[in-house]
Amino acid sequence: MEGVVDVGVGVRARVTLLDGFGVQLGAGGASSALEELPHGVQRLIAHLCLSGRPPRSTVAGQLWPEVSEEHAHGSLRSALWRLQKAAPGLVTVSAGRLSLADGVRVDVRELDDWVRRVRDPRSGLEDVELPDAGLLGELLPGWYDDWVMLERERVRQVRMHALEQVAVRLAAAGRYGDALQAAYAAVRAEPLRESAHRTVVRVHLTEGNVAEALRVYEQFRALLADEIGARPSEHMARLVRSIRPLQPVVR
Amino acid sequence: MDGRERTTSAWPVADRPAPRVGLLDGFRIETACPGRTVRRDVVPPAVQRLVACVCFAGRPGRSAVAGQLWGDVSEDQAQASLRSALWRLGRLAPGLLDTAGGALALAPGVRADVRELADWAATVRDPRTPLDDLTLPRPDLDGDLLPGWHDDWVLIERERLRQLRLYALETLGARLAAAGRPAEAVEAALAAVRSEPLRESAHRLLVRVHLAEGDVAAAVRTYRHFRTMLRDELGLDPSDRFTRLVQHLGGGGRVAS
Repeated sequence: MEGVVDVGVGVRARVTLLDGFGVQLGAGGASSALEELPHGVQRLIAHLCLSGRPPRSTVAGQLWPEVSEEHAHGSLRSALWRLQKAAPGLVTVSAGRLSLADGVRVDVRELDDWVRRVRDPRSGLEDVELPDAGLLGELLPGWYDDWVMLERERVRQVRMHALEQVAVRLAAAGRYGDALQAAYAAVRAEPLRESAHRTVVRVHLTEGNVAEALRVYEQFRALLADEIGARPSEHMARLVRSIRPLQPVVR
Repeated sequence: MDGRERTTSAWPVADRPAPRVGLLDGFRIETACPGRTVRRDVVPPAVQRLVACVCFAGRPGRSAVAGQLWGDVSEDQAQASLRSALWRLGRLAPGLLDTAGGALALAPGVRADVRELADWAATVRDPRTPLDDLTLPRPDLDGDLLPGWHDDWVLIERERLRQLRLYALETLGARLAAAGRPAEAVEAALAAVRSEPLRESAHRLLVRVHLAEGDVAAAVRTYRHFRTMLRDELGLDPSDRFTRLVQHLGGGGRVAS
């Protein structure tokens, strides 16, 4: 199997790992989902999606850590064989290394591309729009391998930070509704983090929606007090203190 | 294993109406039989929380759901509570959730009102949507999320959905006004004002629509009404931005004074 490259299948294929494992093969323009693959094959594909061009032995060791090396290599061979039958050309084997074929798209890589654009100060707002809802899902839900759990946490963290950043940029551009949705998407990942809540309060204040700013601040203050007995930072408290109550109204 | 592409749906979309989960204005499950709703009082609270939680995620892992819903007990206990809730749900509304592969999702074809609200908002906010397709949300999408629930994540989602709806209503109003359909624009702005009576941005929109129509009296009345309310409730004045909208009317700055 060494050196087998069947470019034909790989080119339009897309692998999804967020919200669950899936492979779509773009045969002849129409996308068809692959019939359910054996779990060993799914793990192999997923692992290659999340790593670069690992040597076979690394892959065998990570995917089958609890058996002898020989046994692990046997399992890898069998998974590769079944994979090449189900989706020939999806994976490339050369010089003892495995990788996804060129042109195969992976949702996690698309998410990482979006994160890179968000971090790049030169990118315009149109490059950092909110990502597709499909990119907000959990990585390989229900999988408990160490390498999956580490990667799941990494995805959650980088996505949350990027969402916070996008929220700030959208707000600065006057796109308040979108800014709030981005901020709340970040809050979902980490409800007790202050920065996203702060963006929400700031957007409300910029819009003159003072009642909502006060309500959201109060909710966050109560949440923080309940959960960890802490108070919002001075930075955030200052935001709501900046609301000037009226002098006694002369009518 | 693959949640999105599973073809083993218990609810083929084309053949018969799919069940629908309602979370706005209170929890309910409308079953596939038209008109038959699973009564809220027969659905145990834990089951309601489980279904609601899944409606807000794509396809979360079981442990993520257990952690969110039963975060204050040990992981084993949380998993046991989740199993029990899933079992009871299976008897009340079989096939509502897809539980394959250690993850949970609404079964293919099952609808949820909170997702319909998000779809409506996305349509309204998409600049490519033709004017004729711009409509107010259906009245059954007006309610607050799960009133009376106090879970942290519900409070946050409630606030998020409220803002989603309000900003979409304001966008809708502005687009309708710009298209020369002031009557509908006023309706959209008023829908936002009704749900959030102290919301300045909604009142600003209303004033701008009145002004676009040349109805100065209505614009001034709206501004003054809002200012009175804000002073009474919060002891605050409208923002300068709002005041500037009406200040020049009627001469001598008397309107805003």
